[in-house]
Amino acid sequence: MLWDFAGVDGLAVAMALFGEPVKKLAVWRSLVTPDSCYAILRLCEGNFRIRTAEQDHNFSEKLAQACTGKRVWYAQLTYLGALSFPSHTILPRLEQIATPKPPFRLHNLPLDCALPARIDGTAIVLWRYLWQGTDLVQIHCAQRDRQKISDYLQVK
Amino acid sequence: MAVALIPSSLPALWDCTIAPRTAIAYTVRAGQYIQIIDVEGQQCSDFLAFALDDLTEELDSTVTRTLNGLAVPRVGLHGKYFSNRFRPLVEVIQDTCGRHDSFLLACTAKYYEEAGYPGHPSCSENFNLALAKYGIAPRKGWSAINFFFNTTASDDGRVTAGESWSRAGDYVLLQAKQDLLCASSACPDDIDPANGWRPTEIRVRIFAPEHNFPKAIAYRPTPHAPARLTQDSAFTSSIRQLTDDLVEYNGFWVPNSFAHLGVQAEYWALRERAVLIDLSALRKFDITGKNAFDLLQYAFSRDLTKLGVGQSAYGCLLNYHGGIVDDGIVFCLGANTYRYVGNCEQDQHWLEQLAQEHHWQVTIEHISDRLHNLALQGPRSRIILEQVLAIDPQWQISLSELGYFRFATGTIKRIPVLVSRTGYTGELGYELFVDPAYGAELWQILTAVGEKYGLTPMGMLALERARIEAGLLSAGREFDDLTSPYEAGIGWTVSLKKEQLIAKDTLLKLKEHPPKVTVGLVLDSNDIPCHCQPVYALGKAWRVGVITSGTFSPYCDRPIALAQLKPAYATPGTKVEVGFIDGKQRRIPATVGVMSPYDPEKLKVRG
Repeated sequence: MLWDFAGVDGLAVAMALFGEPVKKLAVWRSLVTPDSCYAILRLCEGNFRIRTAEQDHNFSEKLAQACTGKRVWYAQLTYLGALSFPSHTILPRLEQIATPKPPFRLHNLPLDCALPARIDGTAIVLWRYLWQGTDLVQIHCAQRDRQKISDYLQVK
Repeated sequence: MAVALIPSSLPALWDCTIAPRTAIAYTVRAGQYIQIIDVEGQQCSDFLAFALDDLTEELDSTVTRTLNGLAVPRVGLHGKYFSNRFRPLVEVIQDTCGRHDSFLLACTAKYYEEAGYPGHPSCSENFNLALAKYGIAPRKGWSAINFFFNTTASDDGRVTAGESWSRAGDYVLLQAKQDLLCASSACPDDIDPANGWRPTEIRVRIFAPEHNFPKAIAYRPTPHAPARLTQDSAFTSSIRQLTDDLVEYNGFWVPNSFAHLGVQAEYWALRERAVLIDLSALRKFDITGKNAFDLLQYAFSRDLTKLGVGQSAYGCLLNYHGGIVDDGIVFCLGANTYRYVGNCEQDQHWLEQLAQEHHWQVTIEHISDRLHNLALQGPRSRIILEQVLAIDPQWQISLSELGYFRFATGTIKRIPVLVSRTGYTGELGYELFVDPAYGAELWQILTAVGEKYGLTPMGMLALERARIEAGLLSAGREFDDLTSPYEAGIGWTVSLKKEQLIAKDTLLKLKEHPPKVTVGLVLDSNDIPCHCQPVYALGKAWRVGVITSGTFSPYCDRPIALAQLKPAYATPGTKVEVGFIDGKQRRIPATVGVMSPYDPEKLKVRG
């Protein structure tokens, strides 16, 4: 499950939810909470994207509570699709076909890093992190492009 | 490392002079370079480009502005001109003028008609004529990139034009990103300042891709000095391996931030571990001769009487009315032998002028090309440096004994360095001055030894946060030549007890009654303040000051700012309001405090 929140108080909300480590996150960097329940990607100064464990049904309530009285919006973005792949199989393929937006670099992309890129003109966000023991790359794209991206990656 | 301007004698594939008041069309292949030269100066040249394989794809200035986030593309990361299909058509590779227009149409018949000149030639009509043979339909006005056209958009929305900034021989060098049909004009406008009321010719040259011209922007250290192109420092080749995000600063390419790190990561590396920063863009001058002390004692704010060899002092160079010419550090290298490290190349001319006026025997040698510098900053900087630095025996000192604002010479694996216990971050740290020939090797040694201590490179964006937190000044933000040290927050650097000090009487008055005072502000919300935002008295309609620098402070967990306020509002603890949006709709309360919320006692830098 992916959740997004953004706004002037975005960092304050992130810190309320996930604690002090979040404030050290650089933009387009991420961290996974010690209990492996959440992966937190910082997209801008006050913009965050959260991956939650499938079984965490309470997160929406926690998020709503943290956002109360704050200048942020939060949502599950219905227009956003996601695909996940093991890093070792997908990164070599991505290096062949994806063009990162300068000055981002795809080569040697470390864990807990993300970047905006395009595959044949189609926009993606590429995010590498360790999720419940698996080193994976999650690709975010427009829901309408999900099949096309999947085809490009030759993974169904 | 210096980059040469393209000589006018360099053979080109194609070389064409556009007669005044005319325009031409020409084709260019992908990878080729287009040099557009203002031959006599102050002459505008409007530019169009079309994809040669489909002439309906054309250069679009609105797309270009939007995709770059800039009014006009700038050499570097945001240097491409895009088409109406969002594809790059050309990229600016070199620019010796730096002032162009992307907002207005190429001049039109309508403009001249309504100004009382029906029948006057226009760039748009000239383009129509030049493009007709390619089957391109005429237009009343062409949306062009207007090189050398000096326009500005003001806060109230007006777009105004003035005389061109370009000088004789100034040029823009573009590289075609695909096969193109281009059109260039020599603008016929002689009824307003755009071409200095005197249309002249424009020269266009096409060069082969094999030239591989480096990216560069012209820099003129003084108004009449020849243009010099942006240069790499001794460390830039190492830095380019780690980032593509470089910007021009003071004539050098410097990193904004690093790939796979980012501002916050670099900032926290500074505060918790150690970082390397390339500060080679600083200017260095050796000041020697019988009256070297007299000159600096007069022109520099600090009292240098007790400055011994191996000691340095931060202060500022002042002008006749007590304004700050530059801030920097004076190093005492020996009797009547000093080194000044600051920001501006003009410092040399100012010091020479003062020496001449006083008939002082002084030699001021500009040595910036011979001495580049790296800052190694952070709590682990000392332990990293201890692994590799051998201080020369004559100093009879160890690195741990090297105090704040002390320096020594030594070697790092046989590389001669001057190590100075100074910095611009608010952290324990050192600056290493080195012959550029050793730059890459020094970078490699330090990064290798620093790896186990978590050493990372740091760019200008993270440095900006750190220096604001530490209450350190930036030229053009906290001071300029109209701002005295008492207004800029460095009144403590002025020694009024000195017998000889430039503008002493004025400074005495300014000390008693400074028109404004620099303070630190901590804001009560998460809105981040910016340079020039207004500061109001609490609940009042009138302003009491202005923000000079603002950032989100990771250390304070709050937005902070440096601001210059009327003295009555500068007392610590005073509540003021910072204006956001239009300066009025949202007022964010802020509390006046010390300039340096990070380590206000400077215990870390002294530690």
